[in-house]
Amino acid sequence: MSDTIRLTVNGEDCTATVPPRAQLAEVLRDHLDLTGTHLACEQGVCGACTVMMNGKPVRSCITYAHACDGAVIETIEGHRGDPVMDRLRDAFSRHHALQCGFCTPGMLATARDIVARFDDPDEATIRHELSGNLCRCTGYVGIVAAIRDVAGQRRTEGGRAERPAPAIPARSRSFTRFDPLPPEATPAPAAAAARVSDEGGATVVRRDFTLNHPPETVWALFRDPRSVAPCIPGATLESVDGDRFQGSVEIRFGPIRARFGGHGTFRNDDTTREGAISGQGDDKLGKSRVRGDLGYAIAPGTDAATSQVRVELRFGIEGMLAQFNRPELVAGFVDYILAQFAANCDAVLAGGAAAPARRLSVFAMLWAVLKARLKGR
Amino acid sequence: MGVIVQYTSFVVHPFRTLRFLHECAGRAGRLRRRKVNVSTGIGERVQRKEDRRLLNGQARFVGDIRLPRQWEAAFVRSPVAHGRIRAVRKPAGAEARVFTAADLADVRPIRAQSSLPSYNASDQYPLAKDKVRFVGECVAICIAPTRAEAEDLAERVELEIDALPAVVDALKARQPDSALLHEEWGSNLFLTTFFDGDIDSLRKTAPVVIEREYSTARQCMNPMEGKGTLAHWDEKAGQLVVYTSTQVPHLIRTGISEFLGLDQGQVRVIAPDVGGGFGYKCVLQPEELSVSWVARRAGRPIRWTEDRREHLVAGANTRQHHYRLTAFADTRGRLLGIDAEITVDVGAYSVWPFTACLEAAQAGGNLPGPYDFGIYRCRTYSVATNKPAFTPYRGVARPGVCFAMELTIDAIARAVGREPSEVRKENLVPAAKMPYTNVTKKFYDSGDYPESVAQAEKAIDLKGFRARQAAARAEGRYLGIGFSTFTEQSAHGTKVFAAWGLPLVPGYDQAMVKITPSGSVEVRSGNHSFGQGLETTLAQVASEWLSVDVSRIGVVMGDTGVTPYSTGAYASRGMVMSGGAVSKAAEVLAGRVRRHAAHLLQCRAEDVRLAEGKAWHGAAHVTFEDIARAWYLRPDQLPDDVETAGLEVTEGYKPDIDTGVFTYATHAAVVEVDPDTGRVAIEDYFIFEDCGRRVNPLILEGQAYGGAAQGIGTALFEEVLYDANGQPLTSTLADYILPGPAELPAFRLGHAETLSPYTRHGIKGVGEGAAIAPGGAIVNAVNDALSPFGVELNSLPATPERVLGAILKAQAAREAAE
Amino acid sequence: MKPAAFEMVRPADAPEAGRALAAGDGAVKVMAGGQSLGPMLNLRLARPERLLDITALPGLSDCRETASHVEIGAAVTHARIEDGDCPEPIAGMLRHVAGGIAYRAVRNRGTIGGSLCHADPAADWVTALTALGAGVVATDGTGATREIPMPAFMLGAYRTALRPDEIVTAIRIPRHSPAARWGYHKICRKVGEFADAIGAFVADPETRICRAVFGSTGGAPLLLPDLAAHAARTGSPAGLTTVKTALEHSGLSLSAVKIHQLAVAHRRAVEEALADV
Repeated sequence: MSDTIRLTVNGEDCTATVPPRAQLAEVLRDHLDLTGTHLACEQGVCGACTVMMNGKPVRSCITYAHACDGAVIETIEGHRGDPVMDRLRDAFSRHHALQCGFCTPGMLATARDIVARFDDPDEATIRHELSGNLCRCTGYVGIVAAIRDVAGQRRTEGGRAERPAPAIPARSRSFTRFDPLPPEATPAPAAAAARVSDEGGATVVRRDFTLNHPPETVWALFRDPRSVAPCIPGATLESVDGDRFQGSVEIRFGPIRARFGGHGTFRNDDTTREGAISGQGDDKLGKSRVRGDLGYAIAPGTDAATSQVRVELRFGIEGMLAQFNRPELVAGFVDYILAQFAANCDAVLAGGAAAPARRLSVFAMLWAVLKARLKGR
Repeated sequence: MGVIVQYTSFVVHPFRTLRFLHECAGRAGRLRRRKVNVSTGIGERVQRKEDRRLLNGQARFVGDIRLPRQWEAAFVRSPVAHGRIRAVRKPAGAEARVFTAADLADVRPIRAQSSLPSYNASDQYPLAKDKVRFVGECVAICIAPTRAEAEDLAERVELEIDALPAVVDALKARQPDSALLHEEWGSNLFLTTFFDGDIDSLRKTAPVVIEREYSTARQCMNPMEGKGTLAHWDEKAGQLVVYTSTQVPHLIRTGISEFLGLDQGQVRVIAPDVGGGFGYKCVLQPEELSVSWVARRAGRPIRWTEDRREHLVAGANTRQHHYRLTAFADTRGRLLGIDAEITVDVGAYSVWPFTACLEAAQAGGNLPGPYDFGIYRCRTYSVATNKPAFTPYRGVARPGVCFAMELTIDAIARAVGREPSEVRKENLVPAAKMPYTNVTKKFYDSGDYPESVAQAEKAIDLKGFRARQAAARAEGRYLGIGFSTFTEQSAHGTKVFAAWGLPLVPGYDQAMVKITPSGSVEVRSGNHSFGQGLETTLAQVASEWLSVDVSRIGVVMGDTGVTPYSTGAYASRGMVMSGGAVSKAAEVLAGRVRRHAAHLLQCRAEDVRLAEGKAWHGAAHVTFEDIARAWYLRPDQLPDDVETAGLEVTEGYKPDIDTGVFTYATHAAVVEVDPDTGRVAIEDYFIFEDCGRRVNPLILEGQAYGGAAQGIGTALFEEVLYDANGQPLTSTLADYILPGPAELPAFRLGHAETLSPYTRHGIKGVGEGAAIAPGGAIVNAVNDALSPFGVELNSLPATPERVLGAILKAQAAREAAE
Repeated sequence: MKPAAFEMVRPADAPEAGRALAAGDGAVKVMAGGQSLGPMLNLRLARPERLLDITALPGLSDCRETASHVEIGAAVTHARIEDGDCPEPIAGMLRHVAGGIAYRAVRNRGTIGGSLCHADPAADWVTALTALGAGVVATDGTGATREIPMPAFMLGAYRTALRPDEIVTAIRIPRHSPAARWGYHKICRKVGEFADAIGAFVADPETRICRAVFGSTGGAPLLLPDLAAHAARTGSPAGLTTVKTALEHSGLSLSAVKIHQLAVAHRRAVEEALADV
């Protein structure tokens, strides 16, 4: 794809030569000198960067230049000849709908869209529709009043919304209670088998699983970092020297990717068949750091041919990857990694190879886990 | 000195009905509200002058400026909360575009000295030198043609940091076994302050004793525009020119020159349009120093624009307080005394110039608030933690103390079985005692505090509410009502700042007013507006004296190169101080205009009247243009002994009594709590405020709504979370919740207008006030709603999780007991 | 906060997109609106080397109706669904759900397929479409197509059953009878924000199918057929304690507050659906 894009901005045809990663807002501000569009969060939340694209409000911070090649854009500098926008601007001033004015360009874009989509929006509707635009100064009082004012003016003049959405159909009138059919047989998603807790600043995930191999075989796998490392999804062991090792772990979580390079130590107790690997690593690019201890204990299973494995992963993340308030995602992810680990161990012990993390067949993996679990029962 | 009629009008928006008028003695006849034919003077709902450019995308914020050869900067920031820097490695081949503490060796660390005893000063290097002390602390600055490329470069800088134990909890940080941020202090205490009253006698005798712990969350101020700085060295002027998003351009000039070691004449600071500040932009930022230094070194304009992630991580710097409070009262709930221990989590460093201690000093001094009681003991601790440096935010300390005090008043009322607002009214300083010196020696100039509660009761229909509440409970719905009253010291003067031990003492303000050759007016102030509408209100003050329409009054602010010195916009001082200075200059200028006009009209200056932008003698008049033309272009038309001082006046202003003037307000909230989800819906919210003379009611209403909206953010939504290692968990606006339009109520507002006897025009400060009370009003309402569950919340914000958690806990406890 | 450098490619058709995806070995990501990916790109949490913009692929923006199903192209935006621009498999539900996703400006670009593939546990479509018994149509690099039933599609946070060379082209939703009822209740702190808990309930007396789904559990949506059956039989939700117990035994690791929120969301969804029953 060429780096040159064509846009119609405020009625003028323009081209801009920009890298694909350029945000639409950057194209407007830095290449077309239309600095009225403001970037305030770049996370798609605050709405300050909202502009009209093909007649609809969009976030110009998470719309990338090359995704809008050929689009018609209207920014705050534009809307020339639009009497509704003229009225909105006037009403914003009369109702003191702006103080610092930084959110105003996005507010006006959304306000324009509300007036276009609703004939006679009440206060609750306006507040709801406006909720993707944050203002820190006004408490929204003047903004809501200004939009009502403009919609009201149009109503008194007998005008209508330009593109109102059709009304939502009503529910069926009557409902008969019924005895449902038995539910479709669908593979139930694997439930988390791990216990997750927060202990002294570290997240601790504990998981027990059964392997269909005798304890001594399993222990032989676990006690040698060279053999167990390939079972850890994404892990690469670079060197082992005594009880020290160097290596890396690549983590892929949805669109997130991080590669932690680091070092650590391991220790094993052949009599109790317990051991632990401690390590820490940095993701150089993302400036994140992870520290973790993986403890494991191998015990006989229900019969001589099986083993009960208990793993405990204790870890702390620092830096960017840590700075989000959705702990359940991380816990769920780690649990998934441990499940993969268990499945890999099973595969290696059965004489196969660990699935390469990159081409992991999730179905196969899940099946392996389920199988291991079912057999353990 | 004459006596004037001072009036207090109670006006309820939107009907603006005059409720009642009363008379009391005032002073300063020259400031009497004059009947003149101007439409844009003090008191008028003038539409703002600044709106047009903002509504058309023509405003100019720091991020909008582009200079030739300009590059962008990105910072490498510490990923750990506490650590010792072993190495900062620049990427190979890019050494000349990356700068570290070693490069900035000639820059002095930011050190905000305080004269208070026991104060420990901190040294904050603009780029961390030996240790990092919070996540997000700047370690290196990288420059490139675009921000994206600068960020690419920043990623390649390698940090080697040995992590140290993070100090995250301020109460634990006070313990002797805590890790230390600044080892040389031997503790984590920036400062400890005391008020020592004889509280022990009360402990034995008071019939009602209420003990509580309260806490408020750490917040980010989140102006919509973050910080931003663009600096370049102007060879012609021999000056470092710094465009920066600040509330205090003259202070920043002083700060930059002090820490970069430049003469103040070598620094020019220009604050262009500023997209919100709220306190965040009232201190010298380490980034301002780094960018300035690099621009000079690199020989090209360098800009840094704070992004939201940087703000939410490195700007998590305000509001976090903890209280242990004991209140003593009689059987009717009359306060006898308060014993408090206040811990403020002030973060890693002391900001310049307001220091790490302003917050706790104000908390200790303001906890008694609007209440009339005699015995007070308080200890405050300003504690260093591995978090960003505490910065004063709208309301400074009072949102915390008001929350603690207002919840305590309600707790006392519950203990004595009375309606909280009755107990509140009885405890407030009565109007008859004004002016009043309180238990911490604050001098309350004027006002009727109990009346503000009465007005709020009436507007929110307290009696009717209690009936509705009972009916709703019968249906399983939980409504609650809460009140919260505060005083806000505004426009503090020299004595107050000196008592806080600041490294520099603000007090005066100056302004210039002149008539241009075409007869329009130009006002210059060194203060700055970040949304408060000073361009309009300062013009209104000038218009009040000169009778010129504000559309013909230009206001220049924010540029140290062309404005008189002002310490800037904070402490709700703008209208009192800068407005006072403009008023004084405009008054002097009006006299000169009249004298020039008298010559042109051939009459005595005393007989010249200014109205409608003209000078009148009876029915004859000359325009301002005539007068200006005569002085500037045709001085031959003026007499030989013409007054050569001209039509340009600079005046300074300081209120007669400069311990501050006290605005006050009562907020009342009606909420419905959904006991199944813990969600708090605000059904009604009424504010009754008195900020003295209202220069522009339209703008004042906006300040009240906006302040209250931020206060509701404090009350219900905003909270920076940290894990045990000091990692902030709220680095996006999806994690740190700001209230949107659907979460906020349609505020209602009422006003009193008790003029301050001590300021020009009777103006009091107002910008911050409304952010103070919502925490108290809303949580009092939540606790009122949840009283059937036996739930009492004592910490902010009252998130659904916290409310629901408390309800579930109370239920579990009850079930266990049964 | 600018993204790391990436290339942008517009594949000609779905198999080409699938092949490009597989060849990228994780370094290539599909962008079908980018409203979830965008913030992650800006934060540099996601660092793909190449993005495949599939919004212009033939057919991906179409909506179709067959005798038994409604088929919505993967690149159809939430806003189009909100505005009633697609046929309705059950009166009003898709429009209601679409209108509750984030904000209008986000809905104007965000797509139903993109949301499903992102597989955020707190997102709306994964839960709503599970309740509707929908299937996800995926096409691989050879052009072979399969339909994955919703309960098998999302495996966990950000994880789906898609193979490395598959992209989602459409969503097939069985048409419900006019007598069918639905309820969808979302508990979130702020309009447009991630949900803390979602309850979805669908009951069709004619087909005798009903589903109760719990969303925002931290992983894939949770179907609890017994609770759905209870509501269909009695016309009202099971008691809160019963629902909580069922959640406690679901195998998911959920906090007490979360369980309570989910139970309440379920109750309200059923009550909304059967308000007059």
